[in-house]
Amino acid sequence: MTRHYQCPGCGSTVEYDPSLGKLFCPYCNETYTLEEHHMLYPDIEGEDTEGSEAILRDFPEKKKTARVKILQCCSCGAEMMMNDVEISSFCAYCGQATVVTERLVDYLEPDYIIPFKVSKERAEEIIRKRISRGSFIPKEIKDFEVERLRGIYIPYWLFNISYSDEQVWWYKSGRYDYYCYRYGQCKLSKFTVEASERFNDEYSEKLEPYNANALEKFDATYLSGFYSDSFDVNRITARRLAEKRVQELYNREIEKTIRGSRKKVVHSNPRIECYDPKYALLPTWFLTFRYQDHPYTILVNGQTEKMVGAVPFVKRRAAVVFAVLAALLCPLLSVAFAYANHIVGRVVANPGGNGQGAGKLVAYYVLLIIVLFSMTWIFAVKRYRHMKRCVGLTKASETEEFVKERQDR
Amino acid sequence: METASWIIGILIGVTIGLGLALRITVMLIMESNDIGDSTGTPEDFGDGVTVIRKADRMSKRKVKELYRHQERR
Repeated sequence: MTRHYQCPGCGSTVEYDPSLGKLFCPYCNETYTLEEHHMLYPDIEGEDTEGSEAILRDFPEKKKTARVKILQCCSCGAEMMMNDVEISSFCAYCGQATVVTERLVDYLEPDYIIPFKVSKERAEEIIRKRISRGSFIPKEIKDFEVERLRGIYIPYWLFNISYSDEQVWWYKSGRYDYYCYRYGQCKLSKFTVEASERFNDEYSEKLEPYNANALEKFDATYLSGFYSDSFDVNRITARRLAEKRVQELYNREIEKTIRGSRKKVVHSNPRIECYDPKYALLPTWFLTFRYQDHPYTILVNGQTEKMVGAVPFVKRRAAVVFAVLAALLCPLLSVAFAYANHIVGRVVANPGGNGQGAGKLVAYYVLLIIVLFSMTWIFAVKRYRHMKRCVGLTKASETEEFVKERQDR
Repeated sequence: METASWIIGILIGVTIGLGLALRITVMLIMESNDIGDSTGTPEDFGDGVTVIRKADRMSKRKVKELYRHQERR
């Protein structure tokens, strides 16, 4: 069953406006708070959720299907095509915002929602402002035409997590191997795990953090005017993902406390408690534009305005910058190193010419090359590969399909 | 020998100069084109990670003792 939220004044559909924090009718320009609207149009009561804990535990993992359901728009009666996880969308014929109320009952109503705080115009404005500042961004991207800008509520599981670990780390300091011991703990509140199979986890993690203080009790009226999906990753799988991620985050923080190169955990004894799972819908703007026939999708956290994405760079400009820097640095460093070698050679090398002095000199050169090489080339190549990966995520067809395969208004 | 050390110095200088130029160029590109890349940290969800006990530069013997102690527990 579909539903649209009617304007008490003119009967058209009201949509939630993030900039006003109220429901707004685009036809008669009236605004209503959610409470005012509920008094006039009470929500449909959901089914008894006493059995919901069992549903949460035993809910089978939804397989990826191209299954499409045909629903009827309650405003104009036209057929609406929706996939099996969409909760809200728009009618392609009359453009009315529509909420599939039966999916809020069947699929377990969310516990919380963070309503959109960032409006559509603001999302586009901040992306344009950021992109216009990039000196290596191609002009065609700076003047991008928005192909699609959609506000989508993404399903998340929220966990409270208590994690502790006793670890032994191996690390290298200079030429020697060492071991060290670390016992630490962390407590995480409302840790987010994205619950949509179709949306790339690596990309969605970069939208974090959402401010959990702004979580509100779920109200379907907030969905009006936006797209939204229900979860298709069940709580048990999400919990496993949460545990894995928390362990990675913990290890990353502990690693920072160890001075040395090439560190790794050789022994650990983790204790993890994941409790109080909640299901929430969190807001994200997806802006898609095309460059050289490829779609690029930049995300904006619909609460905090945090942007996620990376765009290709102008290779010619990068080559010129590199050439200028190399032309300045190479002569300076060549003279500096040549002179340093001359001094070191006199001090370290034994004038008698026995092997010891020459050996020390060779050791000095080898160490110098290793240290400076890793500070420059290895760093540069690592960062460049990381950059390419970020651009790949922005360009991913998976993300484009996640946004595209929805009814246009 | 002196000539060799000058030549080696120049070669090192050129290699490091090119590497440094590449590093700076990549940093400038990332600054310009990377719109957002960070993920949440433990501080974003709570008070972060607290290290309760630590010991640095442990010997292998001490590590083995620690394993035995943990197994007994």
